Amino acid sequence: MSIRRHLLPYLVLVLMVAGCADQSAKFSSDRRIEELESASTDAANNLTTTLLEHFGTPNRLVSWSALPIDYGTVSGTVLSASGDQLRLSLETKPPAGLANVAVVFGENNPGPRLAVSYDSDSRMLTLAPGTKSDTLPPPGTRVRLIGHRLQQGRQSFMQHCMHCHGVAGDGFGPTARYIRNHKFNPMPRDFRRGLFKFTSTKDGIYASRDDLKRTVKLGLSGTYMPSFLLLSDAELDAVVEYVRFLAIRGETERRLLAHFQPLIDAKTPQDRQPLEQELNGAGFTEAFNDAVSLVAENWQAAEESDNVVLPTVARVPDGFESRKKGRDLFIGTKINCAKCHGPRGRGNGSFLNEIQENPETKKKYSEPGLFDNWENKVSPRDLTAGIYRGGRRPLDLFRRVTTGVKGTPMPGFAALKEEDRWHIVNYILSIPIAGVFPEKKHDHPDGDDHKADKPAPAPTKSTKGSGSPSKDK
Amino acid sequence: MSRIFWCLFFTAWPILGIVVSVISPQMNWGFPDNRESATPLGERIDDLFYLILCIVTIAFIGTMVVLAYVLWKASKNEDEKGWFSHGSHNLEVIWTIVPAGILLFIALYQMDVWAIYRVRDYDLKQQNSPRLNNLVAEVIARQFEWRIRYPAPGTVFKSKKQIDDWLAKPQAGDLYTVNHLHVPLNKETLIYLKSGDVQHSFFVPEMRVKQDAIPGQNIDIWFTVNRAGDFDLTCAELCGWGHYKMRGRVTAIEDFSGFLQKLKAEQDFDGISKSAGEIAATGQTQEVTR
Ligand code: HEC
Ligand code: HEC
Ligand SMILES: [Cu+2]
Repeated sequence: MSIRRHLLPYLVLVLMVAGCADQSAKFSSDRRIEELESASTDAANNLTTTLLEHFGTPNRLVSWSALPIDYGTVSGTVLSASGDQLRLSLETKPPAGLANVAVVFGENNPGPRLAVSYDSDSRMLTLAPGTKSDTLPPPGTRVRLIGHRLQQGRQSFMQHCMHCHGVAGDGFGPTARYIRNHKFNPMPRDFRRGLFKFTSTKDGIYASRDDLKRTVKLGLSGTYMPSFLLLSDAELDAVVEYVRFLAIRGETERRLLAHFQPLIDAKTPQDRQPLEQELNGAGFTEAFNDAVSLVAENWQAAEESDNVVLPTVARVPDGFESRKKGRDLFIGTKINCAKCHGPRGRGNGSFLNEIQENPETKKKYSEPGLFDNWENKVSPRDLTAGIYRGGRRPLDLFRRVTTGVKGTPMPGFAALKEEDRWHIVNYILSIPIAGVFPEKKHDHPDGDDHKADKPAPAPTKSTKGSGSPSKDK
Repeated sequence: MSRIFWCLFFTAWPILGIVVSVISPQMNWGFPDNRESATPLGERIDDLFYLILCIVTIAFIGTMVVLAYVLWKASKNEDEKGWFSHGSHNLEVIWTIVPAGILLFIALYQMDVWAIYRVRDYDLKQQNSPRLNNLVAEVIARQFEWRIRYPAPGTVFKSKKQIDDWLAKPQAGDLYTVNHLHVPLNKETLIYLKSGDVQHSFFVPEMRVKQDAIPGQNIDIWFTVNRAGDFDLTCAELCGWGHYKMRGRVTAIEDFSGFLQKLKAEQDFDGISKSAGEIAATGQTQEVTR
């Protein structure tokens, strides 16, 4: 982290303007910025201009090499230059309609230019008019055109996702409010915490690109997050990159607001003055660098293969014995999934009747039940429905049991033996299937009546339960 | 003079309309991707469509010729008064009987196609009907995607009741995908359409299949696809603000059971077993199940 902090000031800062779209569009900001504004205009200005400088606006995105974002780079060499026109030889085929990207000459040139357009037939790049001091590079100079992927991602996001997830990825798009038609319907994700529920990564690690791509591709079944299976692979990659960009921007903003929190909390001008000086000067630069390097490192860590949850033991063969062991763990007092999910997995455990406390603010909620980190009420999944948002492959459920559902009260049980986790997975997958563990008439939400259950005949060979299809092998 | 002008003016438009209609197939003026039907039943539906087009064309040309003739005749003779035909019993009988006859003809003539399209589950109630096992998948339309469930590979349905139970509850080994339905090629196929929320409509233009999904109902759709390839699936019932997102794909493949085996290998993936060759060691696959 400290190395990064020293590096930050020297990194390339590049601008790209996109098209003729409404240039006044802004990333909607956290509500607390208004509070900060009324406490100190200087601080609010400092914050907004810093964010603007490093992230830009939706139509004027900024790419910045300090962030682990693949903005989309095409590199090549300059063949000849005259006026604002450059003839280039590019190493890879640029995407059609390449325009409004940043142009960087040489390796570490801090003064990027802006390209207006590129014509792939004549291989001519037209630069935006520069200042007097701008000199054109000699032929043979290395050149990089940066930003096309993020632009494409922005385009797709605005088209497909914005109306739910919001321009800034805050989860407050114009259609989001129609989604809350049921108290447990999850709201569109607010990306600004860097927190994602369904990942393949270990506890405390962010989501990898592959995780996000899978979510976008397949949707989260049982929620309003739809599947975008038929988007092209390039489009999926681009939109995922844009989601990461929004998440990084949003989290940086949140962390800076946390830095200014004492100022917002200060009651009188006398209290504010010393704070303002302290927080707004060198303290701010440091807080910004810290925030950016922390966020960047977290997103980078999510891509490391060490941080992926993978079993080392193959799935225990599914069968009555294994399911029974899984069920014993599920309802046992040690692991006790049943306290939330209920003894039969209906999502009606006794824990729901207690008042919980917010793990971040340490305040008690006003009503009993479970809440996720976004303060939405969540219900433990009804496992009899057989709908798994994070995926139904045994591997997915193994990961759920290992790391839980991030940002929700659903805990992970990484300390459990892998075999035991597989037993639980086998049991979960058997819950929706009729006749595995026959039910008693009265299913008390938190009762101990499971002890009276008689195991049913082994379910693996055929599900001979009433009227179910038989398997031909 | 001006009477002749108006006569020619009104005669020119229908002629232009007919000329444009006749040359438009050669000029490629139809809808984009206006391809031939991929199902035999679709060909018969197309035939019906062309039959109706012929009837309408004949009626259109007939009325236009009469209209032009009347105009022409009237333009020649300035003195003749028009004949006031209102209340003519004979005329009214003719123009009621003739269209009614045509309608009746169409109604009877298309009955066969309608029966083949909609009334196909007549023998499902029989025990061990071989057609029970034409069941390929269940498709649940929901805002705003198509969730698809196939019975476990090798499942044999012995009665309609087993199908109903399968539709009512997930069974061991069911395979799941979203937005992309695979169906066997050249084989009668049954899918059940459900709705997860509001009304939707399962529309595959190239297969000439369109069926509303109605909440609370399991609706059977039958078709036989005889052209391999991908077909667009859309929702044809305005179902909410995300209606346009319900874009899907239907693929007809020869090796349908091979497809199910692959899907099964993906869905059973535990991060270790290498049963499906293409599954990378990281557990990140190009899978289609969730
Ligand atoms: C119809 C509204 C809607 C649209 C459109 C939509 N989403 Fe979502 N999205 C949601 C909801 C609701 C959730 C939260 C589901 C949950 O909490 O289980 C979500 C969650 C997510 C998540 C978080 C997954 C996780 O593991 O936490 C990501 C990433 C995401 N959406 C990306 C996208 C992208 C990219 C698009 C556009 C291609 C998009 N969404 C379009 C409603 C939507
Ligand atoms: C503290 C309460 C709590 C406990 C204990 C708990 N869960 Fe959960 N579980 C939840 C909640 C809440 C959710 C829903 C999270 C969401 O998607 O918002 C959930 C979701 C799930 C899901 C659905 C995942 C998906 O992909 O949709 C599974 C499976 C699950 N839990 C299994 C278990 C198992 C197995 C255990 C015990 C090892 C367990 N849970 C223990 C609260 C709990
Ligand atoms: Cu629809």
